[in-house]
Amino acid sequence: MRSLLILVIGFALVIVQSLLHGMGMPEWLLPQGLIVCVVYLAFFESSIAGALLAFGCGLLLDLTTATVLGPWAGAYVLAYALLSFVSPRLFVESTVVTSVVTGVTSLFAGSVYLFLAFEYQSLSQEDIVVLLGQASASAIVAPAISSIIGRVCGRSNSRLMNHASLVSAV
Amino acid sequence: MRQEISERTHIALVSFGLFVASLFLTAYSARNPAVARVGHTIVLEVTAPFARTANAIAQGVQSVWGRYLYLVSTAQQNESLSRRVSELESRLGMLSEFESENERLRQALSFASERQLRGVAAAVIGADSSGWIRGLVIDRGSSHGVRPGMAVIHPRGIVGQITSVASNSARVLLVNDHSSGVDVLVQSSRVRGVVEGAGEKVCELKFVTKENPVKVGEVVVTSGMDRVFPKGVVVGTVSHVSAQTSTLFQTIEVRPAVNFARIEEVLVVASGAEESGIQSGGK
Repeated sequence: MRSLLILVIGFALVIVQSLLHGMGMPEWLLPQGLIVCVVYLAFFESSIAGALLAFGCGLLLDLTTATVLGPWAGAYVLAYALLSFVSPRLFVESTVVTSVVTGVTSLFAGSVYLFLAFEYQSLSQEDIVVLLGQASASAIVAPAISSIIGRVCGRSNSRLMNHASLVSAV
Repeated sequence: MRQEISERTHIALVSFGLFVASLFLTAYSARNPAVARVGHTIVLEVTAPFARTANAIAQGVQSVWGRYLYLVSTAQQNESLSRRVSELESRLGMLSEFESENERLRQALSFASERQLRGVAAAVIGADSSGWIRGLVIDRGSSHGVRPGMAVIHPRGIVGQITSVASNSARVLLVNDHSSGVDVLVQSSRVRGVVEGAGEKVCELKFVTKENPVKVGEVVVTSGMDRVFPKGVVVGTVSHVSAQTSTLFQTIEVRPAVNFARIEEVLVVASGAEESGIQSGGK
């Protein structure tokens, strides 16, 4: 149920993004809401289900935007896998960490997407501006979106239990 | 600890599997656009009502906000007069909005009838959500005769091509997207080439050899050879030309005739093969 809620939130974020873009917000300023979902999943839902959900988030973006299916799904699942490996070493409750990690993940996922989608085309300066701008915008909105997801979905206990066991071991 | 490592290995394996699956999916959907189109259609069908409602709400909020500020400034002079003025302004605003919409639609339809094109007028209701694909969502779909592959034009020039269609909405891939391609002619010299997207406000005219010099300011029009866009519709104006010695072709930039960020209504026209399906003057 919680998994479905994350996808529903992701879907709502995609509609909001589309609305903002339609209202004239330049594409380089458009925050990528779904990348925040992926970061949240890597932080608090580090499991096989989380990987499937990250793939689902990417596929959702593919379905709403691209002409081919798969590039965003691939980019997001790769970002999720890498993040879920490093997340045990991060203080994920911090908004600063959430923000910085989201920015870096957005850059990474965007680069992977560009590689998968425009493999035979040269990268233009405009693409780089969009990549950096969207990463910054995503980083700014990440703590707020992450907090909303946390409140709506509730957080997985596994991560908190790991912290508790570490503390008790110390 | 061992259990955690085992779980991590499982996550890594599943993620790797999903990544490989995404590569296959990308390759498969690129070769079989119909597969991707089915998915896009389903999502478009679900998202279009949200987009339409959200668009209406956003326009309402913008309108209320604008009028509120207007009232605040006029209330300082005379409260009763400002109320009357704002009422009249509001009516005038609505009337002029209707008038300009009518004018735009009339232009679009007369543009179509002058060229003996059969088309359906549509309003733009949304844009691409990622910012990576240059696209629009329009409020006409398969129930109005719109089909994938149809050309989308504006009285000022070409806009793009329909990529996926739901019953009451459709997605348009703009001509300035990287994956767009239009067969064109330089109007004065009749030199042929292909216009591809190269940025938000610029396209590139490709495959024009150095033996056919092109000048800045020349108008580029569709050739009609791609059987998507009708012949003679303006694409844009040549804004920059350079010919490097090492290459066979010239590098030519074309500034599109249409400002894609500001279009509100478009005309979807059928190519020769699809003309039978469209309902003329759908709006």
